[in-house]
Amino acid sequence: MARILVADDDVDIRELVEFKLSTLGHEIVAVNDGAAAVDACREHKPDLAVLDVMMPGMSGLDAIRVIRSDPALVGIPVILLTARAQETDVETGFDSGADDYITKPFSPRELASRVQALLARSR
Amino acid sequence: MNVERVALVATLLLVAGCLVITLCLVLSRLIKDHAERRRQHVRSSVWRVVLTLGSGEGEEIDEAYAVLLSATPAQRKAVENDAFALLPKLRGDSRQRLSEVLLAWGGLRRATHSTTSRSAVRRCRGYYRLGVLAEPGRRDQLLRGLDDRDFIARRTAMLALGSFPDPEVVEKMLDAAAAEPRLRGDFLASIDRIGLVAAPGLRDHLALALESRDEQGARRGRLAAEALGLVGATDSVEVLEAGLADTPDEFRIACINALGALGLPTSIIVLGDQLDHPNPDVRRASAQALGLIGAAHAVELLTAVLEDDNIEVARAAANALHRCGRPGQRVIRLSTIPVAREVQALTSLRAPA
Repeated sequence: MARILVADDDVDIRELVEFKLSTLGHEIVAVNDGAAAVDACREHKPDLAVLDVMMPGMSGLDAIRVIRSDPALVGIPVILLTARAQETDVETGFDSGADDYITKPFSPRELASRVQALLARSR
Repeated sequence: MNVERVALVATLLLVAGCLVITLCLVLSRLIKDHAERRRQHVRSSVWRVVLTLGSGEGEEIDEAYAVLLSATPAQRKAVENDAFALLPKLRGDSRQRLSEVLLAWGGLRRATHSTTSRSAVRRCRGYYRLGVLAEPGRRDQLLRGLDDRDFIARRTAMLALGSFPDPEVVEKMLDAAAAEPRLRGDFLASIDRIGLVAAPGLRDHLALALESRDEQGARRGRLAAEALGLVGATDSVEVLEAGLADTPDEFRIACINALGALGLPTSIIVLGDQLDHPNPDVRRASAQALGLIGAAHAVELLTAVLEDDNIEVARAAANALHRCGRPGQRVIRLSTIPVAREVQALTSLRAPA
């Protein structure tokens, strides 16, 4: 079981990801923007974070930059959720330190597989 | 005396009226809150089944599917809106099964009916749902939505048509967006979803626009060029490059942007020629496009405009050089031009500590 942070301003997606990952036995911390994601990382020290790229206030990309610049959080694996139209952001995301990305619309089963793979790799 | 009594009765009537209205409002609020609580109560269990259908594995999905097909009308009503909102965010089997459930619940019939409502909000809901369900038989209903009397409904219909990868749909969408410029963003969003299927039709329209040269044709051409770049129609490079010769500047810029989005190094020379154009917007777009291509061959061309009279052109060239790999970054590093220093400073700020 791992603690996973899910940050997405879309309540449907947040709920779906939360549901899917919790059925796999993970503990979920769900927030709806980038700033809250960074705060939640500091507070809960998750084993992995799933971040949406486009969020109000601080974007997922900015949140990754903050996470990667904080020595206490730098090791948290991050998966980006991005709309197809923002695929150019993926390059920036990887530059900023994202470990994987999934485009929306997405298959929750695929997301779960990527999460499991990344958790296994990071342990 | 009589007047005083009349005034008293009137006051009492007024107070009584106010009390009755207040009571009605409170009662109505209580009833609505109660109904919402009941809906939430019903929803919580059914919604878990919907989420299982959307994200579960093997038998779980079959079970959830069977449960949802036998849901009571109250259960359906409690989750239908949310299920329609969730559906376009899924893909694969999950999407297919949830779509089947919504069809079995009569979602298509109700959505079609909503498109004829007098309320613009209901028509929007109808168009949205027809787009989500993407039933080919309802395509024409959605196409009619492009002529709806309310802008918000036309916009919803335009977005919903992105679920129909059909050349005829693309043509009607292009017509509508050319006639109403504020639909441009929605047109492009839909074309992005349709993808390369849209390319042949868009290419034909771009070629026609190059021949016609009238204002309406130019608008269609600009939109077609933007859309071709967006969907990555690399086999349209020839017609896009033809759009750089003797065309209105806005049209030319749309073709330049599209060539940049396609990112083929073979376009470097034609884009480089545009760096000498008298219009700074054209020069800036060319520099940006060369940056998107990001090839080392473009470094020499971009270096030449690093000292352009127009600061925006120079800044675009500096940013583009930064994207051209080590040779471009070397030019930026060694340059003392303010825009180059600016790009360098921003790059070091963005770099992880």
